[in-house]
Amino acid sequence: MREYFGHPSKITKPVMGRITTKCKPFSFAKPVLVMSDVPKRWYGVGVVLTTTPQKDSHPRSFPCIEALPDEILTDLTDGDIVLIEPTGRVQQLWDVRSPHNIVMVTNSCNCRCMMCPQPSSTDSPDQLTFNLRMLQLISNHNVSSIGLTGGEPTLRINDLQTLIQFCKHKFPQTSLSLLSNGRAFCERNTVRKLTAIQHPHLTYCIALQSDVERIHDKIVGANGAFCETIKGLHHLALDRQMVEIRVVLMRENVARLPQLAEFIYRNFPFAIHIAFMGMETTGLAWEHLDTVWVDPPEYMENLQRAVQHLHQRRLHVSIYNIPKCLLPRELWKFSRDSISDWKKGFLPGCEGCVEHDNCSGIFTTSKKVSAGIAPIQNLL
Amino acid sequence: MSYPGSEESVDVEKQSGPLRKIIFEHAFSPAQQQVKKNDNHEDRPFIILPFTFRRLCDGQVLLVNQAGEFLFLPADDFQSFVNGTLDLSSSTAADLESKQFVSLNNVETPIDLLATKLRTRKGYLRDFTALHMIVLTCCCNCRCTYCQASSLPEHATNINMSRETARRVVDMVFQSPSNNIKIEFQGGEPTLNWDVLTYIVQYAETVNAREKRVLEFVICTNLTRITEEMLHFLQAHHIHISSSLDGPKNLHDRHRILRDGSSSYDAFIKNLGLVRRIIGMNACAPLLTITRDNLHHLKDVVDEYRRLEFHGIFLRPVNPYGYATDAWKNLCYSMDEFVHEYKSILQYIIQLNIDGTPFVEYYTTLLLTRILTPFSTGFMDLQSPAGAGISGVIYDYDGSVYPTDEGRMLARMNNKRFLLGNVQTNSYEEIFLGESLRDLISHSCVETMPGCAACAYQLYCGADPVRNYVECGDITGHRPTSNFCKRNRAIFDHLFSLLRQDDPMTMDVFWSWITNRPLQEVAI
Repeated sequence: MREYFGHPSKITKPVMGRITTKCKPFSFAKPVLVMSDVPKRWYGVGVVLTTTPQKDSHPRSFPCIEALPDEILTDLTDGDIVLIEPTGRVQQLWDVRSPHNIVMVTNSCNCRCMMCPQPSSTDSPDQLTFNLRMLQLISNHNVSSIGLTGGEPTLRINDLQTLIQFCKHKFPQTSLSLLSNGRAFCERNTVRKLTAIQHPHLTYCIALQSDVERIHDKIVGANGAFCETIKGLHHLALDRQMVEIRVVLMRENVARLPQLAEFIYRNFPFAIHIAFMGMETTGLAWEHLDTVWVDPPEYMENLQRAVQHLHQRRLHVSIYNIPKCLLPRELWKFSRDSISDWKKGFLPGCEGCVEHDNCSGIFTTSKKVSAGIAPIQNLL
Repeated sequence: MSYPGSEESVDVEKQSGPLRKIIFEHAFSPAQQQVKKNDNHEDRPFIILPFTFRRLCDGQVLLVNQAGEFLFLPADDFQSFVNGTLDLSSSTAADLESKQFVSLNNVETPIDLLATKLRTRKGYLRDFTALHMIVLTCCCNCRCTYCQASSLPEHATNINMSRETARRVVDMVFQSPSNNIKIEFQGGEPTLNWDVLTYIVQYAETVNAREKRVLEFVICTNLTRITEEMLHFLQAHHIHISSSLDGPKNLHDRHRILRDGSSSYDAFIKNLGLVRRIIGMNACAPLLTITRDNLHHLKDVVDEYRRLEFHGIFLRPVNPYGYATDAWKNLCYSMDEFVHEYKSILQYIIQLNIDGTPFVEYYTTLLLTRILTPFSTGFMDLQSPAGAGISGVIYDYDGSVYPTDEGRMLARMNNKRFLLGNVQTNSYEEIFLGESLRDLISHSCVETMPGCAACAYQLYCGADPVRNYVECGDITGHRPTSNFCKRNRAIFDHLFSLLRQDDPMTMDVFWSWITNRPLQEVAI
């Protein structure tokens, strides 16, 4: 999520609001006004966000954050949702122009994956209220997709149920992706709680790291997780759900990618999509860098075999988060623009690359990137 | 027991008496096995799940499990695997675990995975009888040398199905629980009883308006008597046309003989043009019968199929039934000869695809689908239990019901061993749930048949009990002397050697056949 810092005035508690860039006084919705200047009239506006420097360190008489960086004028647009804190921190919760918006169902998790970029933490007790408030604020026009993520969203199964139900009602055309380790679905009743909602565009994106129990359990840091996830995948299939399988590429599992591909084809041929994902080297991945890091060129041959294996078998397969310069040409058509726009970036040298505009880029959050990244000079 | 012609491979049963016993103990009582492991201090640190295997000539061992997944292991690794001395951290151990040949920790997950895959693989059994073949007449204007239908000249009487019988047949067909109903018109030459054909189509469509099944029709015709009027009817009712083509004119006319002495090839070609003009290019799919005359000219046959713009071919050996038995000496060839020619023509067809001409060999595609995919493939001639009666059934012109066409042929030769009943006098239950069909089915599970139970290819193969009966007077059959077994085993051997070579181009061609896509779409 993008965040910005400025000088706060008259903000006593966190405020969530919808961005407007036009000054329309006496609006009932109390929107958050984003401007380069301080507006003359601010009545009816919830909070004013501005890039104008604060004069004389003198607080304003209305809720306002001043001296914000200039990016907010381009980053924030009408309909975005932000969270404004008394400290002067402004967090963009929803970007109407992005296809990567997420709802953080919970911060807690029942796995401790070696490569987790976002280690679990404790939830505030009103996480559901917070999420519902955000979803209420979003205008329901043209919302293409919403990711339901965590932590592990299924740990708050009732909240998750409420959220999916809410989305079905408010955004009937929007596709939902539920990111889960699938362990909870080893209980058929848990699956039924969600399938009972009959959301027409809900995809279960289940993380599976290996075809071998020992390796998968080691990666996710939980004994028995492999068996639960396998069972969960079959339970989802029994209820005819759309299932995607996600594999994070790392030292521990790249040696068996072709075998994993065959395992997926033989046991989960119902998967509508399989994604092989480059690692985001932050969080636990950064802590465990010595064990998890593998430079993409080292596993490229195995990745190519795995992708070819699944593609040959008519499964839909994608490669996420690996810049084009690290992929052989044959694999380019599987590469997707997968990195959320707020953490997608490039190296300085990438400017001159002919594929720059068609590239997934890299995680700006990653603390280690491949040494092999180099601009592609021509397409011959 | 030893198989003729397979000296290079070691017979599984000879090798594996005590081992197999252990395997099945493991398989069928995993919980018990775990207890035993602790009590008896059995030295194997893992549980072996059920599998069959075959030693290959290059020192490798092919392992196949109950889900149809396979693995090649070097003989040394195989030995240490079955002896329990395998290094559990090795990639071989991981491979074995990944495909559920062993269970290292809990046995529940691998058993679940195997069970799901086995259930999927046998999915066609849920559907019950989908293919209903109806013999409209025994008359034919051809007297092909290999004809298994023992047809009679056109003027013969009392060998046409009556409307009354036809109505009862259709009523019987719709008692099948299958959601998919395929009615296939056979003969003789079905166009010679055209009136009853149209009656059946219209009556079946009327019944189906109420039943709402997925209803399909196929007519198996030599095309020589087809007329424009008939073709308009076939088109209006979306009836598929299956015909016969044995190669270029000289090869085709040698065994497919018109009673009036004219060329059946010329008649076929002329009417094929008519079919294509009226219904469309893909309206007619021909079937090949391989006799000793075209066996050694399969390349010419394939080229003829290509010249006529057919998309593929089914390499089908002649069956030893009907007229074919009498004339066997002039038709037959050894299975060694067949397999030799099969291998070389398969290579030719693969190369055609690589060189840019899409062309499919359908039998290979069927077997590869079974070997390489987890899906169910119905094919009544190669199923376990056999498809006889439960996947397909044949109704003779007089309403007699037989599990297969071969069963009908035996009856024609006064052996009514396989007569299941008659639509005029017997109920659906008497015919399809009767002792006769039960007996046939329960004796045709390769999983339990001698010579099949331990065969590494059993998951991909099937049984043909009627053929067994014809060949050796017993529905269980005798594998060491069975040509059916010899041919399929040799074909499987060849396909697995190709899979082991793992040539990327060949594999792409195979997958283009299996997934029915152009080669460019399969390759990356």
